Amino acid sequence: MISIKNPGEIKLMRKAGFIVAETLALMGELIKPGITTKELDVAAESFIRKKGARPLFLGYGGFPATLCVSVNEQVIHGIPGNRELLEGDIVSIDVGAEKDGWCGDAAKTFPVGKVSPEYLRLLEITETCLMEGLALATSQKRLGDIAHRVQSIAEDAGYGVVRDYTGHGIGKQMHEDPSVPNYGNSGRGLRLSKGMTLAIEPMVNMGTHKVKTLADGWTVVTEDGLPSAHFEHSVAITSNGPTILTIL
Amino acid sequence: MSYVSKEQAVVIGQLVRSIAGRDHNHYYLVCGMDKEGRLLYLVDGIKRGMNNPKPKNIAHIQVVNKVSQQLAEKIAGQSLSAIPLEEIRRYIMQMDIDV
Repeated sequence: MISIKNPGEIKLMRKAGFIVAETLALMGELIKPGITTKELDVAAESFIRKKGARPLFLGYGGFPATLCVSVNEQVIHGIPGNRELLEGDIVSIDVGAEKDGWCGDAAKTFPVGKVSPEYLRLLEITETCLMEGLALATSQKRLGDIAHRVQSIAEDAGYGVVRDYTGHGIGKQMHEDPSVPNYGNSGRGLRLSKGMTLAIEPMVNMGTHKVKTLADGWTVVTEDGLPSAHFEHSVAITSNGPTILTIL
Repeated sequence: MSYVSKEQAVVIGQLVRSIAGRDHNHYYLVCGMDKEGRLLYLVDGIKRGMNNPKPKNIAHIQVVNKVSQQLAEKIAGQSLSAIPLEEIRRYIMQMDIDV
């Protein structure tokens, strides 16, 4: 069931989203060669709790951490651990927070130190996919319009868009209907309307779209071992067009 | 955190509900699927058994977060045609839904 939020509820979601955005900004400051993914996780958890919010991922379906930290070929849902970030890596940080019963969810892929131009291009294209896709999150457009825009930008650049995982509706729960795929045909799918809140999250692989899950049951990696980038924003559809909830 | 797509979420033994077609709101268990996971083969223990499962597009079902482990184990054990309709019906009844 798709829940429609009124302006007051969207304001509450913006509060949760703001904490998520601040956490991502903090991660951007902390990420440097030599830091372990666990250290990032600890910093994020204490920051979110200090803000009076609850880490959304911790315990979700048994996930053991506050952040999903996915390095290079890891696409999403990487579990923080003792892996040290190295110069030239790219690291995707996915974070969610719940404040006053409302959720916010966002992700960003950061370069660690100086990275190669190919990696930087992957990050730029993926961010473009997200921003162009969410610009179409207006009433009367359809889910397929967003999906097609994301897919065409990524595939025109020679990259693959992950199909096995999708964006989602967001609200009082982290995962609500509808699911927001990153591939599809324009003009098809659910018609969007005012008051819907969506988490749009293109996951773009440098190689093919194929992914597999590691034995830990969470970490998703590219099948060909090439790097992958992930950008995400929670967006509310309002009468003035899309409003990004997880931005500073 | 990303959402698992329907194709990834559905497993053998999964309970699903039809959301399109003349069988709208009818519950089934998944007994098979094609390679991409787009076409599911469904049984209900009433009209559809292991010998004549209903093929249905994944877009036309809703995934219910329940899996019949008994059916999954039977199918893994390859004793397909040996599962009578009553048994499938019993598996669905055990899932505690209003069928």
